[in-house]
Formats: sequence, C-alpha cells, structure tokens
Amino acid sequence: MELLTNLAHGFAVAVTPMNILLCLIGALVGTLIGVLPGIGPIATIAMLLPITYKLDPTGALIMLAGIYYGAQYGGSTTAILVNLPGESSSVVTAIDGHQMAKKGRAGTALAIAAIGSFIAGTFGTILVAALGKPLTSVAQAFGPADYFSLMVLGLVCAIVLASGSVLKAIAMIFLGLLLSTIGTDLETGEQRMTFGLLPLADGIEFVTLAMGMFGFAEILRNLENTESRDLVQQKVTNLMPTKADMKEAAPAIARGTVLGSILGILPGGGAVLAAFGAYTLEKKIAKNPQEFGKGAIRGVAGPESANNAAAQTSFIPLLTLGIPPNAVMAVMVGAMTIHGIVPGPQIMTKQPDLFWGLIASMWIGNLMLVIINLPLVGLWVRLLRVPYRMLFPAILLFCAIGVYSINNQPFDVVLTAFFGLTGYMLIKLGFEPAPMLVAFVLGKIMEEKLRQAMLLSRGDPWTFLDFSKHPISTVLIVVSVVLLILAVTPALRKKRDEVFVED
Amino acid sequence: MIAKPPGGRARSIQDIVAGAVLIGIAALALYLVNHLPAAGRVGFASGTAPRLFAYGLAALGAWIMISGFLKEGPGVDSSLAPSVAGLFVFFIVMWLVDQGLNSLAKSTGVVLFDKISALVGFIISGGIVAVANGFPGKDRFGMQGPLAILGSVLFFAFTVRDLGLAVTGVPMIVISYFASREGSITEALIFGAAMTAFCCVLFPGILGQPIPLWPTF
Amino acid sequence: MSFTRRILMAGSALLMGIAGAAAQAYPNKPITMIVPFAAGGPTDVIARIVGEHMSRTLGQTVVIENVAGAGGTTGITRASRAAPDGYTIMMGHMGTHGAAPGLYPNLAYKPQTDFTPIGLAAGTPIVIVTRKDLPVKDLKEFIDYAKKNEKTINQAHAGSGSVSHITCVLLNEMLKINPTPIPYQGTGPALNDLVSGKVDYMCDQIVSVQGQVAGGGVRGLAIATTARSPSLPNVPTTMEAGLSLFQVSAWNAVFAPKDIPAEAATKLRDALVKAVTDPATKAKLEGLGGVVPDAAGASPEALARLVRTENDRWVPLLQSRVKQ
Repeated sequence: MELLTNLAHGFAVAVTPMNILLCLIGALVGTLIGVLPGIGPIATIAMLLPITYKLDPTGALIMLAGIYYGAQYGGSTTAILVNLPGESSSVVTAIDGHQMAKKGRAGTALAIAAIGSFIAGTFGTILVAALGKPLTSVAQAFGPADYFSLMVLGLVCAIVLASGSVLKAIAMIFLGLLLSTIGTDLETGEQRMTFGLLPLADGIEFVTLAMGMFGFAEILRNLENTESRDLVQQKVTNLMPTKADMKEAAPAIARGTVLGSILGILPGGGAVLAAFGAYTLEKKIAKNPQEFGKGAIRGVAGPESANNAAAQTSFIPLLTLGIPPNAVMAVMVGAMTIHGIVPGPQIMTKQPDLFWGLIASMWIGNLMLVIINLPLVGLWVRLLRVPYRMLFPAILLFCAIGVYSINNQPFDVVLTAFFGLTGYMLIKLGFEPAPMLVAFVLGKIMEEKLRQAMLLSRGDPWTFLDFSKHPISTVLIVVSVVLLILAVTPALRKKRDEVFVED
Repeated sequence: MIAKPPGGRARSIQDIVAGAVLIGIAALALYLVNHLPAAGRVGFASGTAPRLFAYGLAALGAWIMISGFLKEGPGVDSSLAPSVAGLFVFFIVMWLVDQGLNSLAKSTGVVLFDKISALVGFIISGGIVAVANGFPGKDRFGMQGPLAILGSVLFFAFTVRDLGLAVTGVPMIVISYFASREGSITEALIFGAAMTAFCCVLFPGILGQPIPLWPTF
Repeated sequence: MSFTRRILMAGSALLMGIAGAAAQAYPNKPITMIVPFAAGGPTDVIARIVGEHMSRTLGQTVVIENVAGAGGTTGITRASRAAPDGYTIMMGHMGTHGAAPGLYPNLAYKPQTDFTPIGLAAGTPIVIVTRKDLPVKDLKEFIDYAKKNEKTINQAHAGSGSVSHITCVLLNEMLKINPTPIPYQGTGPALNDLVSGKVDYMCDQIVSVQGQVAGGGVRGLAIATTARSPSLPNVPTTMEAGLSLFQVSAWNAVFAPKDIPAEAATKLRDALVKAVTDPATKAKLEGLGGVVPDAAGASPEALARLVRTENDRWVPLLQSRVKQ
C-alpha cells in the first residue's frame, strides 16, 4: 500500500504546528477574499507572496493553496446573500442560492454549500492522491479540437441556465460570445472592438462584467422595488438544513462531486464548466425542473460540490506535470520558482514532502473550512438584517475597491458601472444575465481552441468530426447536437413558456 | 407601468424593444470590426469570430422582434427609456469632456489638466443629468437612483488614484445614499466614515493591496 | 484644496519630526516597482528576488505592483508617466524596451529616451524545445526535418508579441523555415500541448521550460547562449549546434522614469548592483537558469547600449515579419 505510506508521510508533513497554522491562515484569508466582492485570489496571492519568502516552500504552498480553495467556499456566500458572483463558478450558485435567500432560506443555502463543498473537497483530494498520475494522461488526450467541442457542449448547457425564454437565452449567449472577442487578437495582435482604449487591449475582465451585470444591476432593481429586497431581510427561518433538505441535496452533491472531479482535471478550461455543467445535469434529471431558478436546493448543492471538487482536481496538472492550468496556479508556480523549486514532471519524486504534504493539507484545509463556515452562517444571515439603505452603499464600495484591485486600474471601475447600467436595461427587457456570463467565459477559450484546431488541421472544418483523429471531439459534438435539439424542440419550449407566463 | 398594445393587436413591446437593442449592439460590433479580415489562411482570421457572433446576435434580435409583433407580452417600464438614454448620455458627455480636456492638456502642456479632467467631466455631465431630472426635490424621469449609484462608483474611479481611499470613501458613500432617499445625511456621513476606515484597514492593510490611501499631489 | 493640503503638510511634518532627520534623505518611503506582467511569470519572479535584496540596501520596502497587459506596454506606459522622484521604478524587459516599437505602432513611450536606465537584473536565455517524439536528435537534424516537412510542421507560441513568439520569428527567419505558428493564451497552455505532442516545437525562456526538459516531457535542442547553462548541462549551446548567430535572452532590467534626481539614480543603481552580485541572490537567479550580469554589465551605460542594440535587432525584423 504505497499510497497509504505516502499519505501518512504527507500528513506527517502537514500536521506540524507551523503548517497547520499556515493552512488555517490560508483558509481564513481565502474565505475573506471570497466573501468580499471583486477582489479575487490572484491579486491576493500576488500581494501575499512576499510573506512567503521567509517560509519553507511546502509551508508557503500550503498557505497559498488554502487561499485558492478557501476563496471557493467564500465566493458562494456573496453569491447567495447579495447575488454577487465573484468568480465564474459562483454564477450558477447565485441563480438558485439567491432565490433561496429571498425565501428566507439563506442559512440553508449557505450550509448546504459548505457541506457539499466539504464532501466534494474530500473526494477530490483522495482522487488527486490515488489517481493523480494516471489521470494526467486523460488530460493529455484532450487537444484543441476536443476542447472546442467541449466548449460547444458547454454553450448548449448554458441555454438550460435560463428559466425564461429559450430564444432570449440563446441571444444572451451570442452577446456573451461577442463580448469575449473584445481585445487583442491572439494570433495577429490586432485590436478588436477596443475603441482604441488601452485598458481594453486585454479584453474585459470577468469580474468587471459580473459585478456590473449581476451586482450593480441587482441594486438598481432592488432600489425601485422595495418588496423584493425586504423579502430577503424579513423572513429568515431556520439556519441549518433539515433532514428533508439533506435527503434532497445528497444525490446532487454526489453527482456534482463526480462531474466536477472529472472536469477539473482538464487544464484547458474544464474547471469553468464544472459548476454549471452540474446545474444543467440537475435541472435535466429533476422531476420538477420548473423549480430551478426559484430556489431549488439541488441547484445550489450540485454546482457548489462540482466547483470545489474541480478546485481540488485542477491541482493534478500542476502537481504531476508542473503546468499551471489557470492564472491562480501560475502565481503558485511563481511562488515555487522563487523558492528554487522548478516545476516539472519530477516534483512528485524530487519533492515528496511538498507533493504529499500539499495533498494532505488540502483535506485538512477543507475540514477547517467547513468548521469555520458553518458557524459563520448565522453571522452572515444576521448581516442581511442591516437596512438596505446601508447595505448597498457598502456593497458598492467593496465592489469598487475589488474591481480596482484586479489591475489597479480605475478604468475597470468605470466599465463596471457601464455594465451595471447595461445589465439593468437587459433585465428590464426580459433577458437573464447568467447565460451571457457563462458564454463570455467559454467564448475566450472556445475561439482560441477553434483557431488552434483549424490551424493544426490546415483549415479543415470537419476535423472536429473526424473520429479517427479526434474521437473525443466527435462524441462531444454528437452529444451537443442531441442536447440542442432537446433544448429547443417546440414541445419543450411550450412547457417553458408556460412557466414564463406564470411569473 | 405597462404600455398597452394600441388598437388591441396582440404584441409585446418588450420583445420589440429587446430585439431592436440586440440588432443595435450587433450593428455597432460589425462597424467596429469592419477593418479586420473576415477570413484568413485557414478560414479563420481575427475578424471571423466577432462577425459570426454579431450576425447571430442580429438574426436572433430580428427573430425576437418579429415574435414580439406576433404574440402578446409584457411592455416596458415607461421610465426605462428616458433614464437609460439619459445615463448613456451621461457616459458619452463625460467621455467627450475628458477627451477635450486631454487634448487641451496635450496642446498646452499643462499636466494638471490631465489629472483632474476626468473629475471635471464627471461633475459637469453628472450635474447636467441631475438637474435635467429635476434635482433637487423632483425625480422627473426616475433617474435619481441609477444616477446616484453610477455617480458614486464613477466618483470613486476618478478620484481614488489621486485622492486616495481615505478621502474618496466618504463622499462616495454619501453620493450613493441619494439613491434610496432614506436615511439622513448625518447617517450617511457617519456610516461613510466608518466604512472607509474599515476598508482602509482591510484592503491596503490586511490584504496588502497597493491601493493609494492618502492624496498624492 | 489648499486647506486640505496644509493640514496634510502639517501632518506629514509631524510624522517626519517623529521619524527624525534621517527621513529627509532618499528613500524615505516605500518604492513601487511596476512589473508589466502577471504575477508568477519569469519577469515577476526575477523582480521579486532582486527587489527583496534591494529593499535591504535601500532601507525601504520595494513593493511589486503587477500591471499586466498588451505585451507589458500597459505597465511601462503607466510607469513612464509616473512622477520622476525615484519612488516609482519598473522592471523593463526585452519585449517592452527592445521589441515593442516594432510591434506597436502607437507605442506611447520611446525606450531609448523616455527612461533613466538603472541597470540589468538578469536575463533568461531562450531554449529551442521540441516534442519528445519528434524524429530529430539535434539542431542540425531539426533544421533538415523542418525544411522537408514545411507543410506539416507546427510551432507553438504564447500569443502575438510574447517572448516565445518573437524569438521564434527570429529563429525561423535565420533558418529560412516557414512553419504554421499556433497561438496560445500564455506559456502554460502552449507547453501543455507540446508535452502531449500536439505541436512540434517552440522557443521559450529557460525558466519556463527547464523543468519539462529535465523531466523528459520535451526535448531541449539548443540554448541560445555562448556557454551551457548549469541548470540544463545536457543541452548544447547554439554555438556548439552550429547556429552561433542565434543569441537571444529575455533580459530584465530596472528603469526609472526620465529625469529622476541624480541621488536617487545612484542609490538605486548601487542597490541593484549589490543585489545581483550578492552570492545568495545570484545563486537563486542562476537556479532559474538566469544569466546574471557582473557589476559592469549591470551598469546604466551597459543597459542603455543594450536597449539600442536590441531596438536595432528587433524593430526592423518585426515590422517586416509580424505585421500582416
């Protein structure tokens, strides 16, 4: 049982008082920045790097990893309480989570998110430890064509996110895709739709768009209709989930965990699909899909579990190959290099302390997070009793500071205000922002992968359906087409419109 | 306020407007990518994807618009059009004033203009829109809420670099307080001071963000 | 304004009184070093290692501020407009100060005249790497292979204007080969597809690829320096491999805005030289595969010369090859 020996070694490294303390600090800071809208793990880890110079590399990475997955726990809090998704993964949590809060079930939503995240985190960690190496080859099988097809599948799933008109959801997906192409062209360096503005040269930041379309637009809407915002404040019932809630959520947690673990391994953008892939799955197999979008507990449990499982398994490419799958992990690679550890496939054999210590600490960190977060639920729910006239200026200030801190750029704050106004207008016209945000995230990856695949195949558009060369891509495209037909068939649309009219 | 379909014909004003807005956005995008190649060596070039998405958006916009003429549906708030239009004007006026002052700064070489031009543009354009809306006292087009929200955020954006978080925070909270028309100015000042102090400790302090705290002249 | 300013001046005078007379001399407050790339990248890591040592010499913290965007030119544009008081400096780079004028026609600064050069920090040489199963053993065989398979060979790079892009433009120009360039969103994804064999080769900084070369994920054909790197002793130099003209290093150097006080420039230069000649710092930088200059190489004069020669090398090449 080599695995057990290794894990025992890892726990021996991770449970030294110093490393436990660092893990706790990381988890706490992560929760804090997750809760604060706008400010994310990248800016925080970058600014906290100097603190780690004096630590040993294992301790430093334990702390930084804690910030990363701690932020995943904290991010759902703001999404549920004030409808502010700070990361792409929280967009779907906001849909049903905030509706639950409006029904006075904020405590239940927060608690189920924390419990689901913990179960998923545990499973994800075990997977990293036991199957990290073989799973790497699965990730390596995915090429640009396969990622493109995966993103297409993701977009089809995004249609399901909307609870209103399918047609308008598809329109929002196209708007999100269009917005994602703003910025410098990757291949030629040409400026696309930047109005000649330098700050737009690298495209729109996700947080800018999300804070505007969700956060600011929600405040604008709440200010004009006082009934819906008071709903959040007045009816706070029980804090913890009941037995019935747990029974309802348990299968969603299990499915979300499995789905998230698989998608998290894929470095080219699998993790971003985890949360709403799980949401789509839950909504599709639910007996009562019309409850989704109105506060279904499975719509919180599934995505939150998927999201945290993916956060754990996305460490696989970093740990087994030394290749960072996202921007946060790129900063962690920087932290390793500052400490003289060169990331590469040899980390596992050359740095067993770091490898197994980090994995063990991930489970300890998840345990700490659930212990920290469950008692906090009461505090958060009490925060909702702050009068709205004080709550929204505070949200605005936090958002402004958070958005500013992404690039230390005032222009981003202006852009957030602009998207706030646009989002308000779109909501008034019957559009829902969630599919647009998802398409925005997927669009960037999709265009990149599409053009890579086209270049690699020398311009053959059938490459995505070439089973002999890209079997994964072919299967994904077929699944997408079937799902798309299911999503827009008249029968289904009719059912949807009925739901829409009820509102 | 729901706009009633005139003549009893079944239609949805909301969908018609929504479709028109989408077509407008698509047209703007197509205009902006006009100079980029539509197709390249392997089919895809820098202008291909934006064009595809814009065409798709325009087609969906048209579809939504047509379906709006054919079926019954909700209207739009009567205050939406003037308030959204007014606030977009606010953005445009602000941008123009900023551009004008910037070019003035370039031709005269006075660097001071560069620093305060955005703020001046903001105050002028914000003032115009607020007075047009009937400020103080009246809220003619229902713009006071959005104006105060966006105004406070824009005020933050234009001043935080030069004045620092400690100075910017209080006026920002006070401006945003006008949005809800509840609570007193004293409460806004006290709450603003408390929140600013909290953020000054939290962001530059605990989280180490390089956000300026005090004015730099 | 004047009232606020008077209060603030009174306040700061009070603070200075407490801090004592020493607070008068430069530097009396933290120095911001703008790094024009995202945290965690090679330039950022070098800036942090060097900045940490400079803080010790200067007695004030050197705070790293990452302002990424547009191939680093966003951050450098902002830094070039900062007050020339010595409290805002920047980590310039082969891209921002060498190649940028050839890539961005509307560049808002002039690398040779808009800055006070402080000194070179460290360079990270370029390594030519291929997928591990490409049927070539050395650079010579690679050149033959690339010429024979011009229609099918693919070269990855980390996006238009990135180091891996422009250095391979130079390489392809020298070898007279014409591969299909595949753009990626950064070094990580590009390297990922090279490791899994979906693309054939790329050029990148040693710090980014040495782990993969050492671990057998990719094959290192040649390193673009005159001497082998201690981090990759088995990879021959381009001199040995017969391509002696391909000498490329992604250098990183400290600059300040134009016209900073002479006292500040001197102190910054001394601190930088002290940092790069300190054995511990030097060892750290060399561990990354970096080439660290000696005291003479780190001088402002040497840096000014370097910027000139790099402009001469990159600008005409990129203007003719990259703009389409």
